[in-house]
Amino acid sequence: MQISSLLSGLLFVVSISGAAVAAPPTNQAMEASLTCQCSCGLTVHNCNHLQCGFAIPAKEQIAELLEQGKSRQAILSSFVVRYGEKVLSSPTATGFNLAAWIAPFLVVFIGAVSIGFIVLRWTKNRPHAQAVSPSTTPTAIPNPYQERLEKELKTFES
Amino acid sequence: MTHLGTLALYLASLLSAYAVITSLWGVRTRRTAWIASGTQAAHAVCGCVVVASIALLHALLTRDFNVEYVASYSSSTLPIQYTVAAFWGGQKGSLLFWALIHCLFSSVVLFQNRTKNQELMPYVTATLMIIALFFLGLLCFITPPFERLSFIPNEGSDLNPLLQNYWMTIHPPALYLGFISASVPFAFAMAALATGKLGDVWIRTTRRWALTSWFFLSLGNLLGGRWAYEVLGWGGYWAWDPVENAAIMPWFTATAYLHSVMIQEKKDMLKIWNMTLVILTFALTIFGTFLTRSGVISSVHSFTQSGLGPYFLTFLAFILIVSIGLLIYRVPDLRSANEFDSLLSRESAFLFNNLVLVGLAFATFWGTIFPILSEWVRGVKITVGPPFFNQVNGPLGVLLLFLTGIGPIIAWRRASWISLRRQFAIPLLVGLTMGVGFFVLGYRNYYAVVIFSLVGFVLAAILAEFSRGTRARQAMLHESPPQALSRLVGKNPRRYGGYIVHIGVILIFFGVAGAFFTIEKQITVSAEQSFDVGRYTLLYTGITESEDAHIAAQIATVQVVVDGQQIDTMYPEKRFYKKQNQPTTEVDIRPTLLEDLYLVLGSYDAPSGLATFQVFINPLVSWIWIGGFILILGTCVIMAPNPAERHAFALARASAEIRGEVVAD
Repeated sequence: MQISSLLSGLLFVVSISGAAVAAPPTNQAMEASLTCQCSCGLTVHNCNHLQCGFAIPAKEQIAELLEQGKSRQAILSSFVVRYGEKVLSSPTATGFNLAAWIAPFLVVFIGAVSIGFIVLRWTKNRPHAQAVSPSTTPTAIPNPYQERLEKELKTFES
Repeated sequence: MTHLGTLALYLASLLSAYAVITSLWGVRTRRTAWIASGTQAAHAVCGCVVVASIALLHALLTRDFNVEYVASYSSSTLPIQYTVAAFWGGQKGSLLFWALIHCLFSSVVLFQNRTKNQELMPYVTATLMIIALFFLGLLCFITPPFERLSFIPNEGSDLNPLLQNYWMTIHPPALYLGFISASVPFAFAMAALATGKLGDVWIRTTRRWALTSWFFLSLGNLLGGRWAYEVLGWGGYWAWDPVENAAIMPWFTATAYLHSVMIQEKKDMLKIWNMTLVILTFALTIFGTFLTRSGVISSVHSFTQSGLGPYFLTFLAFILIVSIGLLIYRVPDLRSANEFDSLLSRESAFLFNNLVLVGLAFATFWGTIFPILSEWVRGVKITVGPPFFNQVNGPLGVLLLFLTGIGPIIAWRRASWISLRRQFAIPLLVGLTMGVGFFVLGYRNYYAVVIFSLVGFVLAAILAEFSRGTRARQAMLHESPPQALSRLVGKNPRRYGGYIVHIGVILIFFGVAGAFFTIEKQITVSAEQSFDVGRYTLLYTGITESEDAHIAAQIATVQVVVDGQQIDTMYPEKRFYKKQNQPTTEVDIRPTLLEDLYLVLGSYDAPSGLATFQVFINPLVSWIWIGGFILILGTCVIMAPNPAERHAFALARASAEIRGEVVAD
């Protein structure tokens, strides 16, 4: 139960962070979802070759398919069928690829829980300490003891 | 001269091996003469590598095209500054450059510690020389930079046109300096683990080196972004390319280390964690180099044809096995009495900050290697590109920004709810106002508004810290406000320099958030035809052509008009580099604090007179560079000489001597 809640939570985070996935497809979003195959290393949308043999026809095809009312998934599938999965600019959120999306958040989540747990354990038996305000530390206002210590250290060093 | 270079490299290899053996043998036999001999050998290695580097520079500057490297990366018409930059523009030269900087740094470290840290130094020498030996071995036996061709070509192939840019003359050296200086804290960490002298001394000795590494990693990444922005012509500055990832990963872990090391200094805690971060940072620099040179991941930057991957991977495995082995061996000695007063404290905020930074490093690493994993597991090639990193690293980055605001104002040891309310009220109000303000101004994007709010929150929190400290000095010491402020910073450059760095970071976030509102347009027009983009009207008036022995260029003239008034003229270019037979675009950028007008001449068809332009209006980009400048300035403030720090170090050394940890002088 706890594990399934955890996974649901993580998927929720992923789905929020990937909000663009659920948004209605626009030309720009679709172009950004595909990797240009001209070796520029950028997405179809960002390809810096204005005469690119891949990006330009791809943009035209995306515009055409969007005009036909095709869904985001249908458009991406049409490219995957032709060029393979590597044409997608990010892994699909299915099967093994799901690990790509979940692992970073899972690591941070487990880390956060662990830190919380460890710090609480470390603080369990500590007596209540006074807060040390950041601005009232000796560096902001010199005090005579600090100055005397510094003088003595200077003598000690020389 | 090149024969001398080759000879110098062989000699340097032998001497570095000698330095490793004599340093370790000296420790084993307790004979200082061997240790001193190892140190001198390390200095001699540096001398040899300097000679080899001068030989390569000489070959480049005298256009000795019989040398394969010179013929491949320069030409007779290549301007002098890029001829010098060709030193690190190719595989072999960049490895020699790496070895040069590494050996120079090693010599500086050995000189700095000639009378200090005597128990640590033999191991430091051995570690630094093992690293030198690896690079020198590659240069001698795998990829020799002075290799000669069987003929003398009339002309060289020239440097890649994308590298013929002034940012490129300083970006790779800055990044290399960042990568290579990470080896100094690593070497001291190994020495501390090997000797069991695990106190603060090695940390305080290497504090400036860790900062130097961080400084150059920051600078290298910023300059790389600036280079991409000006040269690649796609309107952006960061594309999460594997090589960019390789450069940013050690930055994340180094940043985490610079924060967590404060807890070790203050509370003698997190020793294992700090060791781990130092090892991880160095390992990531080698991993980054492996990525660039192995060809396992395609990248626009990489030297993919090199076949050096297995050597780097073996070296990386060696480093990890030895360092993690030593760390595990020393775990019982590294355990500390862990004492935290409260979860609500600055110490906890630092721990969470570390978690997010390491999380960012992991997410970047994971996304970078995932295509390889996919191919292994499923046999399917996939791409992990910018959308993945933006969606995964984006939320973590926002969390980091939030923690940047928490850290400076939450109290050490224990924060009470009352103090939290008092400290956070104004920053929260400023943050909310800023978010609402930008929303009202029309910046309507969920992520961007959150970032703007957090920028306001963090900025107010930091400025409040400066204000409180300054007012306290004014009240107690009757100083004028500028005097109080300058003395506040001068008395504790580490803390207030850190705040200045934070201001730089949040301004970078502010600039990055502008990317949500980019406007772009591609259009083909004829001469004297105008078009509108955002609030600008652009009038294309024609093309002029220029040509020299190196480059042929077509330069468009575009008048920029706003509200009927011409405010500027821009000159985007299309260049053709003759030797490489390669066209490039030279963008023209009109930067303002509000937005950049970014103009690319895509193509020009002479018969029809039609020119195709790509125009970007990139809001707030200038703040990235301003933030970068402030970040660098803040790091300089942190590194400024600090008497208080010297006293603390003297105390640490004295207490270490009392504990018998260090044999000083």
